[in-house]
Amino acid sequence: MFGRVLIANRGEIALRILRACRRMGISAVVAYSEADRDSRAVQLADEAICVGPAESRRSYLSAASIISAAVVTGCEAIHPGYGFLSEDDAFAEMTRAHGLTFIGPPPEVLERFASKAGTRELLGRHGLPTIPGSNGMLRDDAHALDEAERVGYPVLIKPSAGGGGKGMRMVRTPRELQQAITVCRSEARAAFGDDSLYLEKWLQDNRHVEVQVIVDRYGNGVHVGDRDCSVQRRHQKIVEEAPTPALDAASRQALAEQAVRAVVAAGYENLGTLEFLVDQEGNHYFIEINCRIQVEHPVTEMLSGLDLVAEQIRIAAGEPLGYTQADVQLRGHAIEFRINAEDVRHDFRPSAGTIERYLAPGGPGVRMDSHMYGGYDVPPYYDSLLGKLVVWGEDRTAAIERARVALAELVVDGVVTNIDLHRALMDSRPFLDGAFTTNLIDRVGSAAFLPPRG
Amino acid sequence: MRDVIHVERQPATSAADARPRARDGSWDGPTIDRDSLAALGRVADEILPSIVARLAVSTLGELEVRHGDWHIRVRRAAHDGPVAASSATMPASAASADASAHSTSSSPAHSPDIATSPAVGYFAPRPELAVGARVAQGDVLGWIDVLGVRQEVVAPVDGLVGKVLVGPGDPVEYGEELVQLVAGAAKSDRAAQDGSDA
Repeated sequence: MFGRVLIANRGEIALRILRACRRMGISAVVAYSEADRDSRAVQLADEAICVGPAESRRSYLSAASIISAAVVTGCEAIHPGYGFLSEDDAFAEMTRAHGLTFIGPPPEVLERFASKAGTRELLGRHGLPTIPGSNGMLRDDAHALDEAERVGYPVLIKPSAGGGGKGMRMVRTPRELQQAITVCRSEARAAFGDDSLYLEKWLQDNRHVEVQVIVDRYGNGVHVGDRDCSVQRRHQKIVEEAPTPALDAASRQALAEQAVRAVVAAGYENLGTLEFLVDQEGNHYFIEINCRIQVEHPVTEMLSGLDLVAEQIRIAAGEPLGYTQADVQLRGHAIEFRINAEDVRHDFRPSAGTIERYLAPGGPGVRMDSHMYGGYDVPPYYDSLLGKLVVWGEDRTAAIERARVALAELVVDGVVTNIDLHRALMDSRPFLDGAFTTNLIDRVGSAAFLPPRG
Repeated sequence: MRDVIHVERQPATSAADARPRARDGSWDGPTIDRDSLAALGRVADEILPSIVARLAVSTLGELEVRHGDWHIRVRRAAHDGPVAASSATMPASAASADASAHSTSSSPAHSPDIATSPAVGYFAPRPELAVGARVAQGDVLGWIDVLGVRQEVVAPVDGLVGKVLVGPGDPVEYGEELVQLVAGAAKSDRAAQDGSDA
């Protein structure tokens, strides 16, 4: 096991990793940017080291600064958290080249799973259903029309390179397809220097369901159930829960087992999350794998009792998993609320400022992971996540009841937050019915979920 | 390499105002387009240090300089501290420009006559760096070894080396104070009086 670990992240996840290190008797060094000098993780760290200015590119995203910080502070491993360098195979390789361990999948595994299209193809071969789409890239308009006809409209045109919605269009008819394909090609060429396109079936009202897996270096793997992340706005998750209300117990188990079988066969290692879209008929399609700890991991921890960050560290240190699927017991229902510094009433505009007052909720089945404290200055440079409220109940109804109580208790003064939206969601029909789809908030607008202005 | 874009870190004022012109989304904070960034680099590199130095040795509360498209305003903090706030603003938004005095609250306000570390690594002072040596602004005082690659530590102002705060080979963090200079002394009679004109 490592004696000393560098935490190369900020906010609540830096604190979360620090807590895991403490419990495991590992000395924790926190790497921070100038804007995070007063952060909770820095205050609690065994040692803290400033790695650069506020600008992420020169601090949290600077591989050389992070690795140099690990070297000069005598760390043996680097925990990248989520975002920033967490899935960067070049960073993982560079970490290893300097004699340090990257806490996550080894570089060659990260590289194998780096391409979304390649990963779908790979895991498709190992039995995961993927979204029906074109066979390879679209050669010309005629080929595109044939493939769209075969897959069935509506279809989504996607560029092979890049992401972020550029060169992407949903089309409902052959006519729309012909018009869109020219635009997509030029957009993709401009954005990525590569105008190859493919197409996929468009799933209108879908659910986002993901499966947590843990695989050790020796090919032992377990799943830790699923999570439903269908409450989203513009592809940003807002609320996550487990188990998913979209599938019955047998389907959930089948999905999770299929997922872990496929990644073990494909040579995955460490913690991972496989994301699926689930359509209205309950069909699931593999989308992508996240090779890191996820924001919503506490939902799974509430159900399983596992410390996923500790598992991640153990496996990176080369320890065997040490338990089997039968040992993983999932109990009850959990919901996580992302508490963000953003103004829901003004297009979710991020807000920054000083936390004047912070009162965390408590009681049985309530967990608050946050780096906030009274007097903390929320810097304007990073994402708006202030913390995560996680509740557990013996079933979904009990979890929702606890959520209402906890959300009513939670006080964050000084910055505008989305707590009101969460409170309203706990009384919204689609959520109570377990019928939320990923496009719902974007389609009807967040105002529909907010109480009238008082 | 020095910290060329200190000015853009000032919250809200410059960065938010510049946002309408932003094209380069290469970092997730407020963005500034490339031309502005280059201009800002020049401002921070060539002009800002000398303004800060002048303000430091003067009795003025505030100095403002116009250079091309940019205004730079450097203001002494309300309390008796070192220069604490500066702002660089786009001309289009000059009216709304105001540096906030608390803008450096999250980073220690370095004295303008201390050379700080541009990176995380091991410090290697220039071999002939000795207390009392005369240096000009921009002179290399030493290096930070970042995974085998050297980054220069440069003098922020003209002056005399007062004290080397970190030993050779010591690990240093970004922004760590390395060399204390006696600012403004290089061209003045004081230098000779201090007996450090070797």
